[in-house]
Amino acid sequence: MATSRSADRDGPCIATVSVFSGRADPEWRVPRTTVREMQDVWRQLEDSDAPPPSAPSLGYRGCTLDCGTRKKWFAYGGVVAHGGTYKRDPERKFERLLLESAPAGLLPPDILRAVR
Amino acid sequence: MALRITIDIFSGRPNPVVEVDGARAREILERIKPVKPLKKGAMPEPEFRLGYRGLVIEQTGAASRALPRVVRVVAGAIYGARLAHVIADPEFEEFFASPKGPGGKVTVVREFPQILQREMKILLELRDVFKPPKVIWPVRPRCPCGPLYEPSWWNDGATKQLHNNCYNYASNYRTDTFRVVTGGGQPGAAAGAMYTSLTCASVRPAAIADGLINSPRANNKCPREGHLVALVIWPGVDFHWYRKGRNGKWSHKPGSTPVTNLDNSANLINDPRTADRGGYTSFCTFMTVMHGHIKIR
Repeated sequence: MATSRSADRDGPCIATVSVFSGRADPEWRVPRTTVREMQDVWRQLEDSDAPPPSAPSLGYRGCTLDCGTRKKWFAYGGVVAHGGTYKRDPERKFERLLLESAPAGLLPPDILRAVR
Repeated sequence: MALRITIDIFSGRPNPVVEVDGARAREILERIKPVKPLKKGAMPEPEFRLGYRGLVIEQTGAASRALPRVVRVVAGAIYGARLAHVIADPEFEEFFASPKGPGGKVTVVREFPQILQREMKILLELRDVFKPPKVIWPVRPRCPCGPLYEPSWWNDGATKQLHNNCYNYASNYRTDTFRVVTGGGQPGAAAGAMYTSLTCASVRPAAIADGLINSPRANNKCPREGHLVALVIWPGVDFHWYRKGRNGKWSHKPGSTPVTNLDNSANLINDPRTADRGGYTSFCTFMTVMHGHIKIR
């Protein structure tokens, strides 16, 4: 499991939001402080039996934090997945931290409104 | 008047044959005279089953004009040229196989007449329960020129899925360039006329520059040549494309995600104008893709 210092030893962490169809999905580098905060949130979340719910085909379909091999998280619909582990995130804290770290104007405003 | 009657029953060995002439022959022809057509759905000539398949009766002498030269009598019916009728004497075969009939004297195998009688009875029972098979006619494709719906081909979880977007899929034009090269899978990029804003007014002419044909009055009908696609816009945000397949249904591929034939409400897509499109609220137009005429970067 990643520790709070792992963000320092790793390479850059990239966020990707699965949302578009014609254009390429938005991607950006996530600041290390945000990554550490997200990893703290991850540790505090409760386990879930179920994976993230299925998303509709068009529009927002979830977001990914990719910090390299075996350090990848996916969040959608109140569930966060990391490796084979799922955790409940009813307030969508993990997801919001990731989405709010996007550069201004990169994401459609509807997405941020949907997770607040 | 002479008849050669072949008892069509065997598979490996030759069928037994009996010859009948004179009054006997005339009597047989009277008994097998056709009286009324068989009902629709009646058992056809059982030419291809194992076991008794009927009596093939050939007029070898001066032929009666009332019947074709060769007929088959089986299960109370007569078959031949323009013949599929019930015979005058439904018990003719039973008589034929009896000790008094011509078949009752055949001795090719032990107890042949009893075998023949048993076989005739089986065929009569088959005739009574026969139901014509239900023929499933091939379905004519609704859009003969449309592409097949074959999601497993696109959804490989690798290059085809990840690097071909909605535009590639709708146009049925694989480039493997989406998210790989600048302008990959973007309308107009191949023609140096890529769209400049996420509006119908900008994306539509960009697709035309790639060779798609604007068909605003298509009204969801399959074109005679090529296949139909539809352009929708998430205003200011993104574009999306659908395609109409050979079965008349629509499908799409949102970005790098898998191909699907469902809309955002998980319903089949009969018409993209009325499908649940999420944020892609603006329906721009139908367009026609002529195979081999377009180019996408």
